[in-house]
Amino acid sequence: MTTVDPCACKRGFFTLRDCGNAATTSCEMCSRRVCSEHLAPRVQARVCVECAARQEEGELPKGSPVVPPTKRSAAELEDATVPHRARRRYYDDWSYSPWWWASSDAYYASSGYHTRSFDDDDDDDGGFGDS
Amino acid sequence: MSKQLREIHGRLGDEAQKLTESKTLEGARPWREWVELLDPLHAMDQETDRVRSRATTQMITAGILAFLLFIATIFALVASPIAGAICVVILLGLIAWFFAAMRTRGYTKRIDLERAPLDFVLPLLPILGEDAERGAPVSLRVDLREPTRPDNRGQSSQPYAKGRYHKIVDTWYTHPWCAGGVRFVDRAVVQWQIVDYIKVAKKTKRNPRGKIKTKTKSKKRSQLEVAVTFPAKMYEATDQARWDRQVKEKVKPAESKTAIRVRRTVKSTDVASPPDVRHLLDLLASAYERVEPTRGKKLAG
Repeated sequence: MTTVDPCACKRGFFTLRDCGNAATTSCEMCSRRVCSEHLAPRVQARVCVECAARQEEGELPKGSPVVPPTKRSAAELEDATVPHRARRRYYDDWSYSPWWWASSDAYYASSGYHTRSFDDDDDDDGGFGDS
Repeated sequence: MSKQLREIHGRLGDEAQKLTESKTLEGARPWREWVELLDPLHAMDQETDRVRSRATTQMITAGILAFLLFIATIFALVASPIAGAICVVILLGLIAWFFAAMRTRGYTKRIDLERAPLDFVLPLLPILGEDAERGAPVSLRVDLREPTRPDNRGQSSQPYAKGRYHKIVDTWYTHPWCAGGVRFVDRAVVQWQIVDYIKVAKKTKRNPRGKIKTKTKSKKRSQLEVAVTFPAKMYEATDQARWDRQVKEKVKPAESKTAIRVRRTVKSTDVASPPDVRHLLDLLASAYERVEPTRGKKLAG
């Protein structure tokens, strides 16, 4: 089943795949449509977890721990930004390229993610293709 | 017991309260449920440590004051019975304070958990949850007991001399503190195990004034091992790894699946701290770098 207005965020750490949820709003930074699960907890703005992670990563020095050891409150762990931030930092610092199992997305190509993929059998605007 | 500790302990569910006694957990449940169970325990353990440290300070303070007051009381009783009686009352108060602090300390020690496994597992769960199917169970076996407890004890060396130390005895402990497994959306089955090998060296020397001094030094090797089984419908093994991630690996390609086992040893002198979560992620990453997809369809879920 295909969602008419799908969330543009990708799930996964070692492989990336489409979120699968229906989008409910738009990110004010990247203008992509995202679901409520992938909205970062911001008070004044609607920002997707991937833009939030990108923004927060810019503030952290290279080589910082993938998961900050002191931040472990339940709210922090429930915060969907955490795995996205960890993923971004791990990819950047440890040169990991996840397998891409999702629809193609220009956001990822421009955000510096290096993914491993090959052309989709289905030819339905995604799947595998080198990035 | 501090008010905050009482509140935190009271908020723990039955299962979490039982865990403070058994100090071992084993089971399979979705990652969010694990976080809901373990995070209050983590908060309680942090508070327990603070309360214990405060109770220890109080015990020492009360003990010293009681000793000094005891001597003062003897003189006071000789000089004036009223002053002596006042001193006795204060002394009794200090003794009561000492025992109350000792009781709190004993209680916090009894419910104290080894925090390193929680420090490791709690941040790992949301990351694994990203690749697991929604609501898929993550199996976990975590030991929250002290790593150098007697039943983890292995062999001890014969006493030997080295440098200024005339007697050194090394004792080894094996502490398997974390194991788990999860099935990812891409049908890869991941299992991991972490074992700490701890060497405790008890070193004795004589200082220039002739006093015997003994100190204990510990070293730890954490061995992290990850086994990933990739179904042949999804992945096949590649000839070589993409990056050298400094891991020991075994790749077993078969008709229906590719089994990859990777291992890394991390050395540390801090026995109380867990290895960086990144090491486990690196092992998983290296397994994913030894395969490539055999199908070109998208994944969902």
